[in-house]
Amino acid sequence: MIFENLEDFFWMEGLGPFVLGAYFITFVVLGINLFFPMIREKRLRFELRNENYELRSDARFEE
Amino acid sequence: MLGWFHRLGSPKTFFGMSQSWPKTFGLLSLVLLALGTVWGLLFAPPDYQQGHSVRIMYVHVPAAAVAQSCYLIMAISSAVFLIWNIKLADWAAKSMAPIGASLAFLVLITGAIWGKPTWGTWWVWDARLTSTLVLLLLYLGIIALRNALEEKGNDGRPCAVLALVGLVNLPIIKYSVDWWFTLHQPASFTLTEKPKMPPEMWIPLLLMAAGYYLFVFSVWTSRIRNEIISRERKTAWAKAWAGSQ
Amino acid sequence: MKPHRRQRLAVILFLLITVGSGVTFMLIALNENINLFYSAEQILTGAAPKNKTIKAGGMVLEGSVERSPHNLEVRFLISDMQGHSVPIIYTGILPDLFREGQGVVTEGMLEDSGNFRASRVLAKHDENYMPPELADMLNEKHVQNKSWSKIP
Repeated sequence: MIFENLEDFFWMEGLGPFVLGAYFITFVVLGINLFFPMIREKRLRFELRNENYELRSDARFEE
Repeated sequence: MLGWFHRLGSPKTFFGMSQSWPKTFGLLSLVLLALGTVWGLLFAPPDYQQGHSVRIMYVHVPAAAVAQSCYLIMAISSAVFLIWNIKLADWAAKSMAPIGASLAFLVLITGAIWGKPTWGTWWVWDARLTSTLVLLLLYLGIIALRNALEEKGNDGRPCAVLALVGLVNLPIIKYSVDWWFTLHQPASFTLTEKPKMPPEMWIPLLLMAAGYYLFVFSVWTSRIRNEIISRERKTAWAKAWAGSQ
Repeated sequence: MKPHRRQRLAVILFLLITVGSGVTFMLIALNENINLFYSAEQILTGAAPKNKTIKAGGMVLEGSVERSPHNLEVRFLISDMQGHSVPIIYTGILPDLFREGQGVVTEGMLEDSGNFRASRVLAKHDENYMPPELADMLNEKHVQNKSWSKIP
C-alpha cells in the first residue's frame, strides 16, 4: 500500500480531488451505462406481459 | 462459415444464444474493474514527475481505447447491415452508439481532469484532443440521425453510411500525436516496443482495459437484446420470454 | 458472395477510399494550422509571425532557466534539440511539471528582438512513466528529441 492512512489517500499530495474526481465520474458513467438497459428490460417485460394479458382477456371476452 | 453467419444474424437465434451474456460478462467485468481500481488507486506507484495524478491513467487510457474500439465495431456492424441486409447488424450498430458516446465523453472529462494538474490546462485545441472531440460529435450526430429516422419509421441505412464515413477519424486520432505538434504525449504502448512503464503500472492498466472491454460487451448485448424484444414483441418466443420470470 | 452484395461492398470501399483520400488531402493542406505550436526552428527561420499571439514549443534547455530575484520573472531557452533555441520570458507561476530537460508549450508573442514573451506556460510530459525510486536509480534524463524535430 502506497498511503499510510486514509487522510493521505484522500489528499494525495494535493492531487486527491483530481484523481478521486476522475474515478467518481468514471463510475457514474459506467453506472448509467449499466442502469439504462436494465430499466428498459424491466419495462419491456412489463409491457409484453400486459399485452399478453390483454390478448388473453380479449379472447375470453369473445367466447 | 456463411451458414453460421446467417444463423447469428437471426434475431431469435441470437436472443436465445445470448441469454446469459450480459450477466456473465458484466459480473466478470466488475471484478476486473474493482481489482484494477484498488490496484491503481492504492498499490500502483506514483509517477516520478506527475506524482499521484498518474492514477487517472487507469481510467482514462482504457476509456480512450474502448471509445475508439466501439466506433470500429459500430462501423463494422453498419457495413454488415449495408452489404448483407441483416437487420440485427443495424440494431447492433444502434445499440453501440450511446455506449461509445458515453465513453468518448468520459475520455474527454478524465483527460481534462488529468490535464489540469499535469499540463496546467483543462483543454487545448491540439490535434489529439480535437479529434477525440470529433469522435464524440460523430457519435452524437449518429444518435440524432437515428432518432430522426426512427420517428419516420425508417431503418438505419443513412446512419450506417455516416458511421462508415466517420471511420476516417480513427487513424487521425491514433496518429495525431505523431503527425503534428501536440500537447498530448505519444503512445506508451506500441506493437514493436516494450511498454514505456514498469509492470506495476501496466498490469493494473491491463486489468482495467480488460474490464472496460468486457463491460462494453455486456451492456452492448444487453441493449441488443432489448432492441430485439422491442421489435419482435408480437412473436410467441418474445411473449414466452416476458412470462418466464 | 452474391453479385449485388459484392456491388454493395464495392460501393462501401469506394466511399471509404474517397472520403479517406479527401480528408488526407485536406489534412496535408491544413498541416501548418493543425500543429499546436511553432518549433524553435520555425521561429528562428521566420516561419512564425511576429507580434501576434502564437504558441511556441520545445524542450527547456538544461541550465538555461534564470529566475529573477525580485519578482516572478523567469527566462529560459526552448530548443528543438537540433541546435535551434528561442529565448522565452515569462512572468507568473510555472506549472508543477516545468523542469529543465522537459517539454513545454508557451503561448505569447514573438517580439522584434527575437525574444518570445510568454503569457502562459503549459508543461508537456512524455510517454514514459516510472516510480520515483526507479527514476532515482536510473538517474538519467531521458532524451526526448523525437517530437521536437517534426518539421513539416
